[in-house]
Amino acid sequence: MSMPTHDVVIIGSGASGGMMAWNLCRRGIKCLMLDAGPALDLTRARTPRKVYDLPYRGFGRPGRFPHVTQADEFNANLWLDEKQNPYTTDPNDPFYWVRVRLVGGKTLIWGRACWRLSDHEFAGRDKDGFGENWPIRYKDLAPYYDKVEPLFHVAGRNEGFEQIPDGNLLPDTSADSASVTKFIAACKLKGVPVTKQRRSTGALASSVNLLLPDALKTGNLTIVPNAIAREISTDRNTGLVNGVSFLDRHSGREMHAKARVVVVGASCLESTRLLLNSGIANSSGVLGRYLFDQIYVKNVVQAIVPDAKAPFGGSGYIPRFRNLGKQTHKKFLRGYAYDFGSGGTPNPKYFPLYGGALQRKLAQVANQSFSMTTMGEVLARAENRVTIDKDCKDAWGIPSLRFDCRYSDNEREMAIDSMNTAEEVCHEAGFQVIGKHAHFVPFGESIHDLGTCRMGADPKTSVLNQWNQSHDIRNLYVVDGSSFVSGGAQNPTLTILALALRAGDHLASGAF
Amino acid sequence: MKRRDLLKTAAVLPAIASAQQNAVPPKPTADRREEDARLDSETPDAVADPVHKFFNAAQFAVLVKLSDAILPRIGETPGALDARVPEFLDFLIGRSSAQEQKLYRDGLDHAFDLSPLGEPWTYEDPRDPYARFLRQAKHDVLTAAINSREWIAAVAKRNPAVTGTGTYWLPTE
Repeated sequence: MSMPTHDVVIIGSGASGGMMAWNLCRRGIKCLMLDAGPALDLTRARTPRKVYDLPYRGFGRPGRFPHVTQADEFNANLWLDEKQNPYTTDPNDPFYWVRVRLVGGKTLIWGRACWRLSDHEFAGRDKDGFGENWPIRYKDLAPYYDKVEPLFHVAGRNEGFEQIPDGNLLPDTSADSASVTKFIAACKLKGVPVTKQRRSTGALASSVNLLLPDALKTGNLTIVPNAIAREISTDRNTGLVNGVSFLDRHSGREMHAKARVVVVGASCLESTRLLLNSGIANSSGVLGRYLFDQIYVKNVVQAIVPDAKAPFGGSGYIPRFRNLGKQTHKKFLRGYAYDFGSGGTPNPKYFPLYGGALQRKLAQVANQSFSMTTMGEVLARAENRVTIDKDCKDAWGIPSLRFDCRYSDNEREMAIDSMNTAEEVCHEAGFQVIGKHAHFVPFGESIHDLGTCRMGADPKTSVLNQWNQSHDIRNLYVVDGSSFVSGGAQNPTLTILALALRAGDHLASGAF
Repeated sequence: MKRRDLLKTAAVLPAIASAQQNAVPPKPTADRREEDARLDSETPDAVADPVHKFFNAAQFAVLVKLSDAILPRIGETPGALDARVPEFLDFLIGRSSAQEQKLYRDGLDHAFDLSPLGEPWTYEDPRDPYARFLRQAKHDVLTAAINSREWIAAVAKRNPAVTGTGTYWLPTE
């Protein structure tokens, strides 16, 4: 006797998989959710520790995470082990593939910034001729953003900016600190837009507390942790997908679950890896292509606010302001945003001092730090791609990815412009710039990897249609960041959630 | 195995076997619960001295001098030596990559000169390996010191926000 066929098998339990389950289960659809990692009891998974009691005094075990700069000794056990899960790159063009394999995925640790995309992204080609438009426009996704923001308790301030449309937000009416007020005034003088951060609030803002419990309550969701999807199986007669083969993480035992519909939300690059390993959904030949993320220039400018006054601190956001209107920047397409923060003490590295002189300086500039980080759009290019490297297998014998991707002059020019603009605004505010640079982090490091399984109106140049549904296989959906056509400078999670919600509505309307 | 050891083993084995055969479950002498088995314990640093073994004596002496120069004791605030930073870095660098080890060993073998630390900050690492070493050492000494029990205890007295406590994610099965 074999197990019955599931209505829907969802692979992945993070933002996109979680949103799918939340939507479908509440509509009475039975879902089986597979996640490659364990389901943690968060009340037992974490414990307070003193940094000096950690084996490496906070430095972390040397060499454990060559490509995860976010890993520290407190959270090291959260990240996917790179030795068990290798991948290959061109030695000259590294890619930092940052992964979390736990039920809830990266929503357990995300930065929580929630910005909407606008038609500057959805219809980017119409504005500057580069790349491809999305198959949807802002108006198509707006109703879904409206639903996702309250679900994630997103707080912020609506400003009427066209490039980051207003949201359905908890109002943030907090006062700005003196340093931030001064900075905002300087931005206004320079014609640079500025607003409060827009973030998902609450002690935990994750799929594991905001999406999956509601789905489980319906009785329609079954979560199987430690289930590493190896291949999506297809029916030779119909060409439709009919199930998922997966391996038990502990034993490697292989199982097969039958499904009427398969939803892939395993994270951008794991989803594409699974489709490539399954040999499906690629009649266009673009599966794996158009990999992009966002450039991050961390602390593009580090300044001090000479007359900072209490209350210190405060932060904010500068949305994209380049290439929005008719006047375009000569050296690059598209644009960038900034996060900025104030308060605290600048890193000692900025001061050419040591010993007592350094400590006196640090005491003098306490609470005076002001820094900005650039987040810039990366152009989606066909040549930036992943392929399967048959010779590079993970600890379960599943072939991994090879990365061939590099940034272009567009990103480099953007980074330089962001450095110069940041410095100008800081000077206008009367801040003293003590460090500036235009070096972005390696490809992938921002953990905003996007594309490789993109949507599009034309099945010849895209993998998915406007509903995140495979052009080739109508009972296959891919709902995570791999579906993005372009990404702007906005943090992508909110858009991933909105797309997944929209895709779920389509699936539930009887498309299968 | 020596004959004497063999005899010892032979003498012990039957004793255990017979004890097992005659075993009677011990009667509880008091009402002891699992909670009582949570025992207080200490860390190695609270009871013993670190043994340094990676750098040679001359290199270690320079590391002591350098650590003290980067972060001396200032009033009540402990310095790098109070925080046993040289001993800690001997351990940390001993576990680091060959490249990192070479940077440190060459740097400590170099004529002692802190003037490169007076160069203005640039994003790129300095080309000169000795200047690069000093930059790395400044970072490492300061981090090891401010993450130490001694430094945190001293600073917490005037700033209760400094606790040194973080949320540690336990290993998953």
